[in-house]
Amino acid sequence: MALTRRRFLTRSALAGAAITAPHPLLRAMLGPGTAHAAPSNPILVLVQLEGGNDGLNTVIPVAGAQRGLYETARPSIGVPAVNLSATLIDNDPVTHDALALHPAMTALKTLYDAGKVAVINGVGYPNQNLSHFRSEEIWFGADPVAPFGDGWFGRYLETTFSPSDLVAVDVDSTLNPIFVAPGANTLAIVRLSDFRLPDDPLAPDLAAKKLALDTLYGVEANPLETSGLQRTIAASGDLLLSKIADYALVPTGWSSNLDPLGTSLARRLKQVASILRYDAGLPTAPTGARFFHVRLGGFDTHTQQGALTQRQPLLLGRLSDAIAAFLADLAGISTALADRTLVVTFSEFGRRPAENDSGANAGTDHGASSVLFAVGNAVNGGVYGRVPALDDLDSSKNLKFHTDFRRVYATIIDQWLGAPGDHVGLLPGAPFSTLGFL
Amino acid sequence: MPIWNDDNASHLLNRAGFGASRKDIPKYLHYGHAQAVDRLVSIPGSGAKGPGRADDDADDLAALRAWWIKRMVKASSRRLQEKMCLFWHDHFATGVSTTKNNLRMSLQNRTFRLYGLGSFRQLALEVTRDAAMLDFLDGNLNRAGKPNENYGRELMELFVLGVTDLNGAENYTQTDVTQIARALTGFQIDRDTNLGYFDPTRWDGGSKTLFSGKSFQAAGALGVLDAAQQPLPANRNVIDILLTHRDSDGELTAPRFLARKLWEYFAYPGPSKALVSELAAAFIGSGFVVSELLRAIFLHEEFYSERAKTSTVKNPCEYAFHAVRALDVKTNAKSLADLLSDMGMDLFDPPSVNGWNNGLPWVSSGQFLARFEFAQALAAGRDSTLRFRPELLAVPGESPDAVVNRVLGRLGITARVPDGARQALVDYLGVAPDFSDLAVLDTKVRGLVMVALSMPEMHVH
Repeated sequence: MALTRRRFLTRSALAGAAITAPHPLLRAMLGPGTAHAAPSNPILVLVQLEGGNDGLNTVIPVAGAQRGLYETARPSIGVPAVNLSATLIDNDPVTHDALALHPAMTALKTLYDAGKVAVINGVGYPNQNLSHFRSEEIWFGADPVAPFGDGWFGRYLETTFSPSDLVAVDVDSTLNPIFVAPGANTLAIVRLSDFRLPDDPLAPDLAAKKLALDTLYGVEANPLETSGLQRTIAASGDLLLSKIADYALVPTGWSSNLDPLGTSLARRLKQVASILRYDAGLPTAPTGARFFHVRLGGFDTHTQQGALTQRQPLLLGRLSDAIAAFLADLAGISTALADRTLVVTFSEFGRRPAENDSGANAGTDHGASSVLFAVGNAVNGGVYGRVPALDDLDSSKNLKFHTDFRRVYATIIDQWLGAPGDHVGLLPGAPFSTLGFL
Repeated sequence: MPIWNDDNASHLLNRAGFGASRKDIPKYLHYGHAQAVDRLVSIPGSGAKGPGRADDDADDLAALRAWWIKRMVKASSRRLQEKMCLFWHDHFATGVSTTKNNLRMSLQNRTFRLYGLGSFRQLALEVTRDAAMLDFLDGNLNRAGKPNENYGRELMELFVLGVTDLNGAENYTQTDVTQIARALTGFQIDRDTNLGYFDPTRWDGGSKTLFSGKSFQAAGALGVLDAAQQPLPANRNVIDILLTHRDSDGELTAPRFLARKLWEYFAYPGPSKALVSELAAAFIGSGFVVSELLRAIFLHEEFYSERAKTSTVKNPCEYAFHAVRALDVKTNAKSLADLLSDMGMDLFDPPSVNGWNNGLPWVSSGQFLARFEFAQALAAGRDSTLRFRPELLAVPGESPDAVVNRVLGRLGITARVPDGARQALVDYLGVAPDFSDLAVLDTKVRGLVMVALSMPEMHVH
């Protein structure tokens, strides 16, 4: 009952704004799109930009007063306006001045023009901590206050699926905390080709070893037989052994748009695309994996951040190219698969507007709010919220956030995962109003 | 005091080193508890240094990794020293994929070997002028007028204090980060020697204030070293000032921070505040000498509790080297670095300045399968990279039960294996195997070892 009323109020507010407010302000407040029903069996790929991505050189003011402040703050790493003409996006919804994606992100710009990219500006949380690790925990746990307990997506898995439904895969050697919760099980896979049981090539005996392992893990997963950490490991190992056969059949040798890119992000997204491709081709969808986390490191650009070359431009280009190639792969497999897929980026924080050095060494220290992208056929493309004002910084001289990161999560849960409600239990501090990018 | 028996001696050698060989346990039992601990902790610093030149040559890095792994696998009296090198590498985490300089990584590794069991103040000072660290966290770019906050923040957050104290209060503010960054200006790397040094012309000699408004507030021309490369006096030296930081209940912060972290590394996660404070008191009483904190841990009754023996996931080095030692495997260490890497532990290249994610992430699925791969590689070891001799574990005429019991006993997990799981191992050997048949030894005894090393018990200590 309460949930329905909240949704009603949200929609009433939206309707009221539509009548009284001019169009750009409505976009600033609520975003350009209208919500539609979540797909069945939605797919979500969370792309984590590790180290704190500099939002101000990702979505850049091109003109107006903010442009002047931007150039003053960044004499070395500021991207010249002349380099931004090919990646212009919609104007800032508040200042109405021109904005552009970093010029390395031409592939994302093409998707933007097709209405498939939501640019969500000014995302952050209260009392930004500025520590990588605490801030990551806050993003993982969706909790800016309490010490890290569970991952928000782990809590979603726990409340929605049974522990034996292995629907989430971290494309990494180790499991990201975002997927971790007591009743959630997730696979961590870097390379599908390694996802198998080994044998001794000189004295093969795989079937017998597998039988012994299956048997003893089955015994030890039983709470009457073991306890504590030993049982935790036995239970997850038992589940893992049961899934090896399914994943062993996933082909990876197919020709993908990601192959020529040669980056680690592209290789990781190729694993995701391979799993989705395999499942899409079979009515039983054998792996059942629909939720993925992939990581791109290197955004902690204290030095040599670069304007057009050096560290951040390289990373942004890799991000943009890999997302575009991944979505092209899915579209090539089937439109239905592409329609079911949403890619969302995030990073633990942004970076300080003022650069910390000059010339080639110039970089930026830890900041507060940043920008994130939601990309997919179902996205209501456009610019959500303003680029935070450069003349209204916080006490650490960082950009103030205006959009709580949990509103992004609430939008995903509500509009994409098809779990409307107040999300109490999933998102500490809930309810949060949704953003309209889906 | 705990009873000094096989089980407790084996536990001590697992945690204070990388597992016991067959000969170790009787030797350390014979010493008695206090002397056994004393022999482990009372080790003078060693200047031993691995190979490596000042570039990122992959073969050199492999040689450096093999050199260190060999020390960890084979260390006897210096086993805790090597374990602490690994701990400090995880604590002051620095990655070669950023520094791209094997020599600097090797020199940092030596710093941990020289100072890792000694004064923490000295160690923190050495790390602050360590070339690899200066490069990794941009300390060499931090200079007067152009402060770079990277090292100063991590020095407080990860190395000495922690974000919050034991009571949950914030230990420092963003203002403290900017102030300490200014105090840490002036360090440079000598490109000929690959050593860090202090260049006073790049130092911000102005007044800074740390921990403003606190009882331990410090202000003045703060820094670390003087022009003669000697430590500044304690009231101006930020390393000393950090060591005077107090928790919101008035107790010193750094000793609790380190006591907790070392307890969690060596015993179990989430120790009580009382236990942490007790260990911190021993550390303070010694003048911040790391070996004395470790002595307090290894002599503590709680260290021998069931919880301390069953609540931690072994990191890949602990898992792999224990298996090598327990089964008398001979190795030149050349293949071990790659196996460790697949299990998630790239030596000299931790995932971030926060080190490795210790605990359950070690056994998430991909890395867990890599442990099966390691188990198979060891069991199939027939050459100098890994040489395992199955005939040492099975005597002709023995029953499958006897062989299984011997393997579990060597691995030190007998008491933790449920009957049904043990039976799966016996059944694996088949009915009446002939252990005088080389094919049986090569297939079934090697196979048994692969399965046994893959058991859940093997990953816990």
